[in-house]
Amino acid sequence: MKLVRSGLSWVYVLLIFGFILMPVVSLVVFSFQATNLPVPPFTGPSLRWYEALFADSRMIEALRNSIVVGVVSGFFSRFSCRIRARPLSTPRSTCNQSNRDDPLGGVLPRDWVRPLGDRK
Amino acid sequence: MEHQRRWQGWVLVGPALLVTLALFAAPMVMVVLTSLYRRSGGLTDRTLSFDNYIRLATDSTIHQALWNSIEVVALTVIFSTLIAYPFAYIVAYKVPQKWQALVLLLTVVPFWTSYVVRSYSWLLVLAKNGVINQTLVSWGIIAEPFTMANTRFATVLAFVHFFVMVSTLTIYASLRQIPRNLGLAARDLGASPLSVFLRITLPLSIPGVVVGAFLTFVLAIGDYITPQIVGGGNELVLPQLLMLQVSRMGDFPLAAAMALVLLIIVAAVYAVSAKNLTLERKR
Amino acid sequence: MRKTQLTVSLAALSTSAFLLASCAGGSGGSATSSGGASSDAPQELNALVWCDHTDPELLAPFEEANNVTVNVRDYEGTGVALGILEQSQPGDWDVFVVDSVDVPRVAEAGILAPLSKDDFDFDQFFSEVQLPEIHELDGTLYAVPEKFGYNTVAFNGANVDAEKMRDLSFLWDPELAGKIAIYDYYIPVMEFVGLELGIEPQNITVDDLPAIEARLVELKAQSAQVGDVVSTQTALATGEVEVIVGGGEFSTSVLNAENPDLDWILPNQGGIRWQQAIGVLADSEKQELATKFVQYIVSPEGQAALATSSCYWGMPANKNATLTDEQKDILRWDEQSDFIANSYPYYIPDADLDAAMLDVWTRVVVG
Repeated sequence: MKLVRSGLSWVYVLLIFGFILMPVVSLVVFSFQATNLPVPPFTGPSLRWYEALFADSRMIEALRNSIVVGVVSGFFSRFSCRIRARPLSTPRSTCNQSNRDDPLGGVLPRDWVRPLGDRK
Repeated sequence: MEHQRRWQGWVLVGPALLVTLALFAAPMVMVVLTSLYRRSGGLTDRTLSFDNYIRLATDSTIHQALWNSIEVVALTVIFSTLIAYPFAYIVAYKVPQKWQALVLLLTVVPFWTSYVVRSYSWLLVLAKNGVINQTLVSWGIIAEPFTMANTRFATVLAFVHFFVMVSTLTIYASLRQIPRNLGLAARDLGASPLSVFLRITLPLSIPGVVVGAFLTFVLAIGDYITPQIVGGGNELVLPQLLMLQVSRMGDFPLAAAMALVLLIIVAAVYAVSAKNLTLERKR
Repeated sequence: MRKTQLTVSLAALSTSAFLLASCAGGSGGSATSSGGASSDAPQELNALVWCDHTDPELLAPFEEANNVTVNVRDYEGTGVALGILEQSQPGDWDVFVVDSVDVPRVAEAGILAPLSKDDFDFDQFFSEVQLPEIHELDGTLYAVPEKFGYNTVAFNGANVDAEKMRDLSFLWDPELAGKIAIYDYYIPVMEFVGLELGIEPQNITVDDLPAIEARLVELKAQSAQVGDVVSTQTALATGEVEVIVGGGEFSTSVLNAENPDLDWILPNQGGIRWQQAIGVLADSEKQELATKFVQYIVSPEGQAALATSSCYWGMPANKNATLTDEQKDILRWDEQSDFIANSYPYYIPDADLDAAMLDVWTRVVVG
């Protein structure tokens, strides 16, 4: 009975992973499509879309903008976290809290996890 | 000394307070004010009035959009929770301790891709000629491809795809906080595994379920991107109707009023679930 | 005290980093450059346009010939453009591409600069698109027609019989159930539905709306989706749908190279003809340069690039556009005189009818 239950668990885990990864894997596979449409059949592998991407100056500029926005907001929110945590004056500031005490092992942004409380 | 400490306190809080005021409070005040203006003759009429709120109360199209939103989000919350709970349970109790963080990481990694791009990939996976249909047809399971994209099913599926991750993490966190000795003690006293689950594990994991459901609700009800991309414009949810006001009609006042309605709904849901919105174990 | 100083200086540093970034974003964010800047500080021309004007292939010849960088910003919907202009400073924008039907009200509002008819050779243009009653105000020219096309039906010729598509009523046939995409542009699509009911666009009144709404609801029941240009195009290309209502050459021509079965046609009941025009803004400080750009766009070379832009194709207003025979085939060049005769210029209703039509459309789409 335990073996069956165990087997069912693994089947469920695999199904979930399949569900979660399906669109991402699909995306990656069809990024190597040789023809125009990202639907089966797979006519690749071809690098034509990567070539088109890096040859387009507007795409590169957009990519650069995205990176700048990402880095600056990350920088800003890190310090924003620090300056908000300071006045709360807990023995360990929230920003410095080690992952040991994070029930999710640091997987989610700390601010998101705060309502979940800390592992005792 | 006291005076200096208070001054220090203000200096420390000051920048944060300014940031909060500038980036949160001030825009909120603008939204409230804008909702009291009116759009007439292509320009914004700045006389204060409740016209937009009267329209919200009486316009059946807006009610329909709101109802669409609530239905879609309710389905999302229910399915995300139902799918995430067993998964979180398995990871918390069946997966060996040292692998748990890795499994969770694998669950989360796909969500580091762009939200817009992920929605488009669902559209293509669900297309009539997409991966799912072509696989089912080639395996002989169905004769003709069936319609999945551009439907409410697609919207809910794409939402559930994202929120299963959120709910898994919150439920997992909650499960991990349940002391193991409670279950062991119950087994010692003769309780069956099912009994342990129903009477100890499940009740103590409710906070995780509520936090996950709340996050799902809040994030989904305001979401415009997913319904717009995979929903096919077949039934609009309130954020889409809001965007219509902004992009097509330039009616910012009505859009602001709709935004406030969404905010009030979220606040109401928060009020109802606030008691449970913590995973700190109540002693 | 040291800790306080550290915190405050960190806060100041992060705030200034944030402000710097937003300033940098703001000044560079009002228009995207086409990437053609040269080393001896070229002049800049700012154009508020539709997406078909953003191709480097269109802009580069003009930029090189005149040592100019053309900054383009594309928009959807005249209302949005007017909002952008309202929020900009005078002189921020030089060139404006706008729906021809909106030219009268935009010219009356003093937004467009008067142009000299001598600067343009109208003999080269298709006579039916010149429409002086729209592009001129009291005999003065305000905008030049540059491109036109049809809101009609686009379809996959491999799966739908082109001859059946010549009857507009076929759209409601059970054979097409679940195979239609409706282009999300209420005026032409509602006028198109009106044509099926025998109502000509310029004659539509508020009293006709209930009948149009009923027919539209039936059409929506037949359809798989309501979407913009890109999503309807994608749906047709991937086989999700077989017909786009309100589509036309602008939907399929871009995809023709990949799939020659994708086609469009004007039914016997007729279709709606859209048209876009280009003008110079009254507040522009570079009137001469802007006018030169307009002249380039309506020149044979500019027209060929514009007609076949990567965003969407359409008929050039200039008959002498240097298109290849293959491109002309895709645009059904030889049938144009019949099509023009059998189509109705996009009729813009007055404000009340417009609001009523949009209400009907929103009701139908919200579902």
